[in-house]
Amino acid sequence: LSTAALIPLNDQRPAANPTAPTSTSEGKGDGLLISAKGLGQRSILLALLQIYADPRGLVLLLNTPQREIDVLKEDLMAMHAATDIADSLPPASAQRARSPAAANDAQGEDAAADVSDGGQDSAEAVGGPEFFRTINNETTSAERAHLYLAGGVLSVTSQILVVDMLNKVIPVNKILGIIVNHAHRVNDTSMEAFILRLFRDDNKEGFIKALSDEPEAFTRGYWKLERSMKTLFLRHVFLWPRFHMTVQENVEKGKVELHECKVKLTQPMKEIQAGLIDCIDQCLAELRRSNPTMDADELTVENAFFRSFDQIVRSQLDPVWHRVSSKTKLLVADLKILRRLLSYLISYDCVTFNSFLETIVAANATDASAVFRSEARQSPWLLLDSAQLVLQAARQRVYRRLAGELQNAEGAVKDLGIPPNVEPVLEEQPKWRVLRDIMREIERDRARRADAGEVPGSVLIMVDGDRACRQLREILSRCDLTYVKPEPLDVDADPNEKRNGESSRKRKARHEESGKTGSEQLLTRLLRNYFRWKGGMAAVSKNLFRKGRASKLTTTNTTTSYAARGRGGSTGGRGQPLAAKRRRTRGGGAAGADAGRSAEPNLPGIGDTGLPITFEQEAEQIADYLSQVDPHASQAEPHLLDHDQPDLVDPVIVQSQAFGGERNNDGHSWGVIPPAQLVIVRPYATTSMALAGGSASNGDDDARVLEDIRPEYVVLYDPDLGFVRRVECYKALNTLRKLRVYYLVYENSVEEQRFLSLIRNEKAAFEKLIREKGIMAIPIDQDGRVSKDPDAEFWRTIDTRLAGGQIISAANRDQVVVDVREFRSSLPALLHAAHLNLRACTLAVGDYVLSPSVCVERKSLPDLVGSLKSGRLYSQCEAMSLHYKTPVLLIEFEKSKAGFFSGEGKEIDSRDVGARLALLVLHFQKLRIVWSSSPAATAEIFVELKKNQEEPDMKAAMAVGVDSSEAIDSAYSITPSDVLRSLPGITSKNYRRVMSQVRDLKALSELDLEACCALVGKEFGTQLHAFFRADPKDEATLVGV
Amino acid sequence: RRAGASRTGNSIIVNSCQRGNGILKYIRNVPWEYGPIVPDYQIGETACALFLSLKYHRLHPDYVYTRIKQLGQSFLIRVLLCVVDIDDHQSSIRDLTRIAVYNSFTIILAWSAEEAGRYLETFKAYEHKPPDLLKERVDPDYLAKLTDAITQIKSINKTDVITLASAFGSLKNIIAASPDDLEQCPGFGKEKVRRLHEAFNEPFLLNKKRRS
Repeated sequence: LSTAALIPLNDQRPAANPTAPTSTSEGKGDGLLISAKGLGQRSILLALLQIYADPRGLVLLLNTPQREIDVLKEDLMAMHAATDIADSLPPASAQRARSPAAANDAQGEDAAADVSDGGQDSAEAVGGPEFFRTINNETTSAERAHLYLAGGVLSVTSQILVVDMLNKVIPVNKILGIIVNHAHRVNDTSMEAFILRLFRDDNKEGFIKALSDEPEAFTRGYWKLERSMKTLFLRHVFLWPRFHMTVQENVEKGKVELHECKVKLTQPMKEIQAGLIDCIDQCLAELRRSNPTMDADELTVENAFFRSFDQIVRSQLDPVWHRVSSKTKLLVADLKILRRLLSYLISYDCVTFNSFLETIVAANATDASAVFRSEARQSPWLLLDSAQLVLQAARQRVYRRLAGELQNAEGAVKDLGIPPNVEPVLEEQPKWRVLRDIMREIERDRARRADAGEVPGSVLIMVDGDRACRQLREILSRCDLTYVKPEPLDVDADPNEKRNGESSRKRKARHEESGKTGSEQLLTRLLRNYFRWKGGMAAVSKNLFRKGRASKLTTTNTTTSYAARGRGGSTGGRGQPLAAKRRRTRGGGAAGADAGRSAEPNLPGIGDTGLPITFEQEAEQIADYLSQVDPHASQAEPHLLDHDQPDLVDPVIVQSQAFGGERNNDGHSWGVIPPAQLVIVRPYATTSMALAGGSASNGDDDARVLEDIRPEYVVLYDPDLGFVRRVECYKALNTLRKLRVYYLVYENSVEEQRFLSLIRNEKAAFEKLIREKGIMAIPIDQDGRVSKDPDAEFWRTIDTRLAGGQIISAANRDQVVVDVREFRSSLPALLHAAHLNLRACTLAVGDYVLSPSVCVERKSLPDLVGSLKSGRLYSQCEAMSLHYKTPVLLIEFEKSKAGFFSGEGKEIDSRDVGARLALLVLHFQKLRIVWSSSPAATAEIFVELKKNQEEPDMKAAMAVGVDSSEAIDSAYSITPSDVLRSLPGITSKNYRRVMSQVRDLKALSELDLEACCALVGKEFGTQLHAFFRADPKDEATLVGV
Repeated sequence: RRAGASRTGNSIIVNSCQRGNGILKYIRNVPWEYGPIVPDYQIGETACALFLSLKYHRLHPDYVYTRIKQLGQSFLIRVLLCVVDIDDHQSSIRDLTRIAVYNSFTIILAWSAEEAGRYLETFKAYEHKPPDLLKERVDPDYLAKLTDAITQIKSINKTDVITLASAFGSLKNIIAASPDDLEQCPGFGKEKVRRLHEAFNEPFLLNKKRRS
């Protein structure tokens, strides 16, 4: 094996298994590794997994999402297989067989040797991937107990692990060690911290290794690094920035041929960008004005470009969030939207961008006119001049309105399903053109090399997000890249590749078409959808007038199902199903479903809804127009529709299939299609929902892709810091491979600025961490390996009240039953620290049970406010009062003053928290309130409350409220009465009467009008009677309900 | 039972020992008058409040015990209104919490005399107010009402409600549907059907026998 192959991964290995001399010999395997993004942390994790996937010891892997586990598992399997090959083959060929895996593996063995130095078993060929297993909420407790004893590496959901540790299902003292992945997500109140504490309580020998590739996260807040190390029970931190000398040297061994392409923004794009930035600026200024307490230094435009800005704002506002004005809340939300707009400007095509903008406008308009949304007001930024400019420019990129009405009604435009007085502009994204140029260059290069007898490699294009990825794929597959690829021979190639081939055939046929074809078709189709959407919008907002947000969803459905129908290829009728479908949306729910199958040219009057802005009127016109033209349009260009249909479906969904296929069959499809023809467009793993199965993954998937595909040309369509590093690492590991990288970035754009500040921030973060590391004060016993005061330990386990301490009954003393959901807060950990014995289970009523009669519902201040409003607290108190003698409401107010009444109000205002709280007290005589300034104070109060009380019974606590028929204190069954009380016409005053007069809900539903009125009075009786009989399918019955 | 209580009418009755208390001037929206009562304030037919300043409590920790003892078992709603006028309040609150919980008192913390006054007048003003304000507010359209009603049953979600409504139509029909019919609906497993059926057919009043 060439040594170069081990670099730079090899260099980081000491970090994970530090060999540096330490004061205690035991702490040798412990450490926190913080590396720069993309520097191959996955390899370290894999090496660790390989070592510990061994039945002789139990190692826990924390904080790792399922998606990452799956990938790790696959890789582990591959490495295992590679080891087998490596055993039978000389090293050189082994490397050729699967070089990265082999390299990792060798490293793993190295590391294994290291560990065996540390006095632990080496992992030679005993374990295997089968000893890397997962425990999640689907694993039953019996299986879990078995798995814990079986050893190997177990990835456990933190919540489950806490419960198992507390309930002693897992033998804590037998655990070999814990690996904490994504260590930056662990803070002193997180569940992982509690796990580590429980672990260290009972286990002084096991190791703790923590990994993180987000240095920035350790610089937020005061002494975050030091505090993190404390929570992680670690004394050593290892920093591996990109500018570390060793990393530098190693990465530079493989020089990457880099072509940087600066792309200019178009004029309207520049205008939009400037406008949006101006809006952000004004929003920030407004935010500063209305909240003088906020730290103005943090509120800069540049900070606002990053997602972390939300955290900054929230962390500043959180303590006072319940008192913050609704305007401020709106501003915070607006900033979020504006930031998204900025990035959409670059990643979305012009049509989608415009419709997103219009959705925002529409949502705001409907909000403003809504009667019931007094709190939500129109976003202030929409009223700014620059916002108007943005809206204008965004539209200009899409289409122009012609002055004269209906001038070219019979022209070509009409066929495309575009209203007559509109001329499409359809500005291309500038990067599309550049990408096509690059692809031509690459194809030329490939052709040249193919002529020279070489085998050119594949092309990998990395994009932000699924949508952009899908669009690029379409554009590239349709455009002429001059060099005509040979047809792929295999029919079984994955669908995506097949489409490539298909279109290349078509391309030959339509060779004269310009390179723009792909994007033009794409944009035209999007434009048609857009107008269709706008038409649908008018109808939906008519029916669900107040539900502007919902409308978007409905229309999406319309287009999707249209796509499905169109695909079915019903001849001639394509326009009609659409019309019917759209009518249904218009009819509101199911009301108009069966109305008209025929495509009616004239719509029933929509014009009278009185919606405020021209947007609506325009939408109506378009809807009108479309209903007349649609059938015609769809027939006029059949071929266009045919190809387009699959893409009409929501991009993300298609994506997952296309990509899932590619990933899963990589085994054969790579074999069949020669890499010389392969162009792969792929979203960054961090930006793609489809790839990660709905949850964002960390970027390590991308590194895997590089190793799998081994491209020779990489195009970074969107900049991504982690991926740049990954390419560097890949090149350094494969110095002999050719690799040419194109890097596209918009000049003078937010994108560029964002990328540069990312690099800058990371560097600054590392510098700060290095400084902090130098002056950090770490107590010797921070690693928790030193036993606590033995005296205290002794007294803790002994109860002197029973036979003077001769009978040890510690395990059953000071018990608190805790609801599993509560482990998300820091209180359980502090209760544990206060020497209370926690019993974790799922409680239906309450959060904590202190004694058979005392049950506690915990509410933080924001929770309290929310649940007083939503009514949740009422039902919770009701349930607690029903089942416990002493229901307790625990209010965690912040250290600062709470202030439950608003301002200097002279009147009693029922919206005040204090007023509602008073009402609550009046209605629940048994309810006690515990006020606590901090979780630590709560722990003390709990200890105090538990004095001289009986111990709670976990089984009894779990049974409470679970099945209504077993209810102890109730004379009526809970669920039916809940349903009853939520019926219209039933009030808190009359429900008891109803329950005593009527047997059950069924009987109630069958009562006739007279009986109803006799029961609850005329008005309520009518309401109740009508509600039972209202049928959503029949509009007439809904009147008055 | 209500020893020491007097007919209250519309005003808060104040024990004359509270004369000079700063919070009295913040009882603005409800009339108050002095009267011969055991607690400090009588804020309702069956509700009373003791007033305690934490500063005073720290100096005279026994005071609150004597007052509670005097009160005995009278009144249903017993509020211990504490004004937090010291910075280091944690231990005082801890002690008071224990006293309150096991003597059937509900602690209310106020951070100022004004806030304390607001609480008192709110208690009085809301004496006969129904708790509807605290309950879930239901949106007035049909679907929201229907959703609210049916989702009271455990494990039924909003989608299920729409499924039910579109399959059976009116709520009456949904209730009348047989378990077999219900099971035909997409997303309805055995458990869900059982819960629905039970909720609709279980009598409101359980075990009348045990009760009587």
